[in-house]
Formats: sequence, C-alpha cells, structure tokens
Amino acid sequence: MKYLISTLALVAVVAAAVGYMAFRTSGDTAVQQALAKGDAMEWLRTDFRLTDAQFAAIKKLHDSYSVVCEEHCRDIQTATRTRNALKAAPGSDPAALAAAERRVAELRVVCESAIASHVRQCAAHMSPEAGERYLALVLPKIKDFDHLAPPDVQLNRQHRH
Amino acid sequence: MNPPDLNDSLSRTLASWRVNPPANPNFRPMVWQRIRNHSRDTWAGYLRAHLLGWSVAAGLAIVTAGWAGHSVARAQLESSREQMVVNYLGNLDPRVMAKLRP
Repeated sequence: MKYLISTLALVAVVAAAVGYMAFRTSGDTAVQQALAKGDAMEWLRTDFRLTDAQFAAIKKLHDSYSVVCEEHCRDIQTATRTRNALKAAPGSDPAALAAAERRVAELRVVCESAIASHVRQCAAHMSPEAGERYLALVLPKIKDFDHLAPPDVQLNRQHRH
Repeated sequence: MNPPDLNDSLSRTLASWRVNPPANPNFRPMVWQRIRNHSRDTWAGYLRAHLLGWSVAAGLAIVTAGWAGHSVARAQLESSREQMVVNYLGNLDPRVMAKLRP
C-alpha cells in the first residue's frame, strides 16, 4: 500500500511539473511580454512578426491616421453637442433634431469606414497570413465599437486628442 | 532391548521401504512466485511488478497535464490579446475618443 501511494505521488508530481512546463513554454514569450506591458505597437510587431520595414510603415500609418482621427473626433463631438442641445431645449424643432441625429449617425459611419480603411492599409503591410489574422481580430470589433473599453495602452505615438 | 529377530525384521522393512511422492507440477512456478513476492518488498520491485499499469497511468497523467497546461496558457494569451485589441482600437477610433473627451 505504501508503494502504491508513493508511486501515485510521484506520478502526480511529474505530471504537475509537465503541466507547469507546458504552461510556461506555450505561446510566444515576446508576445506575452508585449501584452503584459500593454504596449500595442510592440504587440503588433511581435504577434504579427513584422519586419523592421513593415513595422516602420505601420507606425507611420498610425501617426498620420491620428490627424484624421482627431478631425473625426472633433466633428463627432460638435455634432453630438448640437444634438444634445436640441434634445435639451424645450420645444425644439423635431426636424432639426432628426437632422442632428442623422448627422451624428453619418459621422459615425464615416469614422467606421475611416478606421476600417486604416486597418486594411496596415494589414496590407503585413505578410498575407498575418494581415488576414490581424483583420480577423480587429474588423469585428470596429463594427462593435460601443463595446470598446477606454484605451489604456501605449501606441508609442502622441495622440493629439 | 528388542530381541534380535525383531531388529532384523525392522531392518528388512526399512531396507525395502521406498517413498514415491507424486511430483508437484506447480513446484517451480510456486518457487518463482515466492521469489517475486519477496522482490515486491522494495519500491523498485513493486514498480517492476506493476510496470505496465503504472506506465499507462503515468503516460495518461503526463499527456493530460501537458495538454491542460498548454490550454490554460493559450486561453490566457487569447484573453490578453482580446483586451489588447480592444484597447488598441480604442486609441484609433474617434468614436471612442469622442466619448471620452470632456
């Protein structure tokens, strides 16, 4: 009986060690480190195996897109404030309110198209397989933007908002 | 003391006495069984005696543990990646930024 328990304990220890090793060695360490740091650009570089040239091109795209992003952000805010003001005002013109609602909706569609176009441009700089995977990750979330959490990662660029 | 003729009779009887026990066909296997039983008194002996069973059990336990470790690591990575994508897009999406801006 004592050998049965000893052997059982030995097998359990070996299995636990194997499980731990499998846990530690599964996945790409560089990707895990980038994710742990919350560094989005490093995550892109490691997860999609970007070459230096690809990384530089995508970083440049992100930097130039931030200008577009700022413009869209400003437009949406202006349109939203206008709509909210109309909503809050007693006896406001329903046609004007509907137009303001339409304007906000239009701007949102414009933004969705712009960001989708931007990520497609980024994907075009990646290898075909990496680009496909990148788009599969980001495009569904662009459509579902209301579920996005407030950003708390570093894009390694100056966001001008 | 016995009389001489009684001693002679006993001697003859003993001289003619033959024991022919039936051969036990399990004698050798029983000896080996006893040797094996004795060898189980050590851990190595116990393992040798149950080698096949423990090999299968250990193999299954190790494969299962390896698969579980790998699966947990993959699930954690996927979860972190999902969160990263959300945050990454949050920084790129003017709709999100407009909501956050006062």
